[in-house]
Amino acid sequence: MTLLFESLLACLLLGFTCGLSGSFLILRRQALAGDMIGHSVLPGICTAFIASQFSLNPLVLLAGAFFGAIAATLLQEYLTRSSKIKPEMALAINLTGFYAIGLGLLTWIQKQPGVQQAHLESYLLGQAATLSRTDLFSILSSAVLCLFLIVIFFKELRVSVFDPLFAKSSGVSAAKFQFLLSSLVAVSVVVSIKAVGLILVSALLIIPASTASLLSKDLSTRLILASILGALSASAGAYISFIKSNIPTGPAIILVSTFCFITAATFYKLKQDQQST
Amino acid sequence: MNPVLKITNLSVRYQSSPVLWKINVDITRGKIIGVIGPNGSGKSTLLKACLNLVPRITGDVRFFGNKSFEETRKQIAYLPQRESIDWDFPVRVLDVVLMGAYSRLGLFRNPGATEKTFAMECLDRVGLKDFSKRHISELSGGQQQRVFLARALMTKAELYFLDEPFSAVDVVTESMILSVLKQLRDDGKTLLISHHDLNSVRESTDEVILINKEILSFGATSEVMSNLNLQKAYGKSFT
Repeated sequence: MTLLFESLLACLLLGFTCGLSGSFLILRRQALAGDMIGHSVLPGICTAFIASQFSLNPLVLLAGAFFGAIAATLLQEYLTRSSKIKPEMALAINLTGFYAIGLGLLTWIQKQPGVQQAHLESYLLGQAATLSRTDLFSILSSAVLCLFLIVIFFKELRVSVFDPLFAKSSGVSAAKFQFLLSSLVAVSVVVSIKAVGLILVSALLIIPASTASLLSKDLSTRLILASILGALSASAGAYISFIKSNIPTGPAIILVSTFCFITAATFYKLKQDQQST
Repeated sequence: MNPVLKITNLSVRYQSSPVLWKINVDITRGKIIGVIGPNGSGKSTLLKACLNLVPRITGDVRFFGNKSFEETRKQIAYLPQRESIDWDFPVRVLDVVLMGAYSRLGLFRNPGATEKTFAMECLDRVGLKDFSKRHISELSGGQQQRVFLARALMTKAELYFLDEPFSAVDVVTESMILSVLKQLRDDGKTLLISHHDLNSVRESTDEVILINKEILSFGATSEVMSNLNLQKAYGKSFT
């Protein structure tokens, strides 16, 4: 397989995964949670880099990123459940706190003599061309995992988000399923940051899902649309980034998905105007 | 006769302030019991505490003799307050009603043809059979409340906990909901309903629990709804 094909396939799969998990994020009114998880990944990556004695092994960095994302998710759940802090306040505290720690560690790493840190900086804005075969395998695994878990637990996930109290009274642990959703978001973010960048990854979670929300009132249809739109935006953005090498992958993907959103929003507005006349 | 619901010494607090204090109630089968009291008196919390939806400081709740909630979950239905729901959620009416079958189905099993037929019967009972394919946001407040009642019917429960089922409904809907609830009562089911409208409580309940953090009075509706009791609970006269 060529580098271009592998990178486009990886972006297609990560767009698919982000579309799926992002749809639930929107329904939980936690659009900023993806941003928080994206920023929390940086200290995880830096810590893994330092702990592994400056290894650039993608699996080590991926594991670090995942621990950073899970730590932020757990802290978010803890702050909102066991204190008077409102969810949006906890999100802002977590986002900025984790990012500050990450930037501090990155600065420290940059000052170490003889350390190859250039690859770590590529996590900020993303570059699909840097994706390795291992990255492609991780992205494929996470796409399969997300799809599998959402299909088998669809009814539990739906009732947990729609009506958590009724879910709990019916024996469906809303808290556990909501944590599962947060974990799926964390996985989606972790596998996406190398291509999209940690600053813009939340847009790939939110924009395709928001576009799908304008096009359908049925959850299953929304999930299918969001995953297709995510996959198309990510692969098209990556392709643009390849042929115009001065555009980083992350911004190119987000520009394509924003274009899709604006098109859908215009279509939605026209349809509403037509119905009201 | 064994009570279908036995609440013993139940206390609940949010943060540091008590919301319910030493509640003791025995509910017998085949009755509609209203839970009334001023805002913040703990009506909803009482229902939620019985179903383990909020943590208790002390107390015990037993169902159908001496069984725990976990043992009897499939015989219990809960209708939450409509304010706790995102009515723009992308879900169809039939799918909402089918949620009532989840506790019977358990993990990994999805509703089949039998459940779908019964869900349509439940929608028919609340007059919404023709709305099954509609999106939940396309319904009025009263219709949404009827969908939730249909979901409660879908559980095939023996004991119903209904949190403000008459909230945001018009007179016609209120009368329809009431007739379904009375039919359930006549079939031997027991219903515990938190209520804010004192006028309709008199015609819709057999017994009333008057509450303001603790139980002020419990008994037949006509006895509990005395002016003295209401003045004690609400701090003003209702004559």
